[in-house]
Amino acid sequence: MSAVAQDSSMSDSDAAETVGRFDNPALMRRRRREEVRFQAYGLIAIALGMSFLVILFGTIIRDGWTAFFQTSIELPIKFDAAEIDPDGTRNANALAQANYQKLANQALYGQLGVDPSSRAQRQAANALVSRDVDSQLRAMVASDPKIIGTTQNVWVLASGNVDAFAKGKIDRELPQENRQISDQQISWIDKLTASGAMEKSFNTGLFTNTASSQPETAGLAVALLGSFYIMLIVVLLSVPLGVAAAIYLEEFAPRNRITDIIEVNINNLAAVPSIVFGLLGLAVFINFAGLPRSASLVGGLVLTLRTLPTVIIATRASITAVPPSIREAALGVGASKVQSVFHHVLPLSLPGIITGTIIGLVQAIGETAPLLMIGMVAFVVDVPSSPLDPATALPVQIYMWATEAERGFVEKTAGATIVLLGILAVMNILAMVLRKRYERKW
Amino acid sequence: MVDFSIEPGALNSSLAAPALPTGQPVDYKITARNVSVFYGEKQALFSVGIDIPDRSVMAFIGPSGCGKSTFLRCFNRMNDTIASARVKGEILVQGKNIYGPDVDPVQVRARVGMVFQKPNPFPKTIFENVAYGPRIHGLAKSKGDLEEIVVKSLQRAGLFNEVKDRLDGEGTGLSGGQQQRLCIARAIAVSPEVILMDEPCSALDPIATAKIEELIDELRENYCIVIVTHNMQQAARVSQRTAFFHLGYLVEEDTTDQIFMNPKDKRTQDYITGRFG
Ligand SMILES: Nc1ncnc2c1ncn2[C@@H]1O[C@H](COP(=O)(O)OP(=O)(O)O)[C@@H](O)[C@H]1O
Ligand SMILES: [Mg+2]
Repeated sequence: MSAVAQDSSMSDSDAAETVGRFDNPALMRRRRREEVRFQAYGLIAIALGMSFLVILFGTIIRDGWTAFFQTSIELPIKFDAAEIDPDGTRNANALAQANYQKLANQALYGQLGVDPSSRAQRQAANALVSRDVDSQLRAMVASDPKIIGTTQNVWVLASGNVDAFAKGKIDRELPQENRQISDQQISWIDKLTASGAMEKSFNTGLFTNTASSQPETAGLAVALLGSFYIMLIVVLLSVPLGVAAAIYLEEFAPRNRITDIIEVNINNLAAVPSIVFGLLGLAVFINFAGLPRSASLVGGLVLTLRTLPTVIIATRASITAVPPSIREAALGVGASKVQSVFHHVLPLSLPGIITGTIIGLVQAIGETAPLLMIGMVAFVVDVPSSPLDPATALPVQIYMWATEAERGFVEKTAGATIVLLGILAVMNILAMVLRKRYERKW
Repeated sequence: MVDFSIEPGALNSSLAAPALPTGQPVDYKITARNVSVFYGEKQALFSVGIDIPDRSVMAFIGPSGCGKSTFLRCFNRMNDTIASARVKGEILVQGKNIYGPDVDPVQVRARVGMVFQKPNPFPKTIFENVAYGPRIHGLAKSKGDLEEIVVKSLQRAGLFNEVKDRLDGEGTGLSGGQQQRLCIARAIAVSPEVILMDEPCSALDPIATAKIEELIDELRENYCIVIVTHNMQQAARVSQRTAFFHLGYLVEEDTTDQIFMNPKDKRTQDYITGRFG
């Protein structure tokens, strides 16, 4: 604006000379060309960025959405007393050691009309159901031994290959040698599907199962709980510590060398690579303080250190945004400094603090490297019942699944990424809504 | 430039109060002696002394940056909240040195209320704005007490009739003049002995200004009021005594009539005739 104004005032005073200069068609053309060219660069940059984003999300969603569904087969399983409990003692140990896989396989042979004397046929049929059927049936018997001797219709998980075939990830047009499912198996699958004994349903196991070497039974329960514990610890520690530090620095601390140094260090801390926090956690919390490895407690402590600067910086920014006139008003009616801060400044900066904290949490929930350092990368089969138990976290689980060799884990990896992105999106939207809602113009 | 000269008639308007009766013992609410204020190395106020009577309005006038606000903020120890500020000297409020070693500045601010240049209501309801002071000082024993204090304060600030239907509306939703009267209500809700006002009308339009001036004149019956103003007509209209400051010195202090009609110092003369400012 001001430049334009200046130009016109110049042309007024210096009319004779400048008119020629501003009217020069060659110059004008060049200026327009430059403008067009610059805008084109900008558009190309944005288009490039957006297309990468679309490709990224596109592939993740394409590969991952099927992870939320799971193929299962309904089998009339005969809980044969002779097989499960030959002695008839109903001894828990004996029940746990029975060969449940065999029960499932036999039910399958019956369903498909497999010739039990052909070894090849038996093997082909066995490969249809998940190897973890074993634990599913064992759990059923353990919880209700009375089903021994009866026949029950049970939905058992299909194997990873059958699941992949049912989801169209294995092409039935390929020659038999090039696919993991034989023609014989395909005809069985078609038969089961036609009779309604094979169906895809929502994969609750993705959220309730723990670590497994079979992709069809691997789930995120440990990672979700681990991430939840970590978030809980981060919120419980970094919010009170960060807010207290920010209030002290902003409202009470004298301005001197020491507070200057502290301030510079807080800002620098926010820029320290996260793996360094992992090293620190390993040295201090595990080796020195003797806290357990792989525990979400240590993960939470490490990520608290990581989040603290973010919370402090956001809190300080929103405290400074409260106009001094509010503090004066409170002091003017005889409120103490502490009262003016806690009755007025803090409530007014709360929205900013909450947004800042959520942004810190978003950082923390996506953090992987420091958790690898403290051993949260582990094959955890038991659901952690406290933050002291071994656990993993969502991004670490994604990393672990991504390094698995089996085909079925590709889908799992993308599915877990969708879950993580979904959580991040929800948190970001929450932060945005809060900011919009409580935004205050002074 | 604005014409600062005063028509003689203006001082005899109904608002201009008669000068204090002379020859009688005067009850001084505030007595300041040798007050100097430093901001870091820089001295902003030089050994100022003044006596301010109760139940009257004292106006501080002077060119911008001469230390009026600085001096005013000494009376409720507001300067304590500025890290670089240092105050020397002695200020007695009701005979007690507020810079004494055993004095709590927070207590002083409850006794000496303040109204600021820009209306600064809390971003809370009208009721909460007024109730805040009494609440933190435990002035109300019950909810009814508190309501009574709030209503009385709003009435005294001449705002009650305008807001009585919306006490739970936002204080910041009022007009500028109403906000400033709300701030006055908030100040008087804690029953202060002195009310300090730092250019309370500088952000207001003429009609709102007139209302505040009228209010100041009413409040004078119960309070000692010290007002900083850059508007000499306003000083002439609302005050009984006026002090003229220049470059950190108190140049002249006398009855308002004397200062405007018959200033003794050349600098005062120059200022009120608009030769600098
Ligand atoms: N917070 C402060 N820090 C440093 N100097 C200040 C501060 N407040 C005021 N001053 C200085 O003190 C002098 C008097 O200021 P002030 O009392 O605000 O003047 P007035 O109210 O008469 O316009 C000015 O020179 C001003 O620059
Ligand atoms: Mg001032």
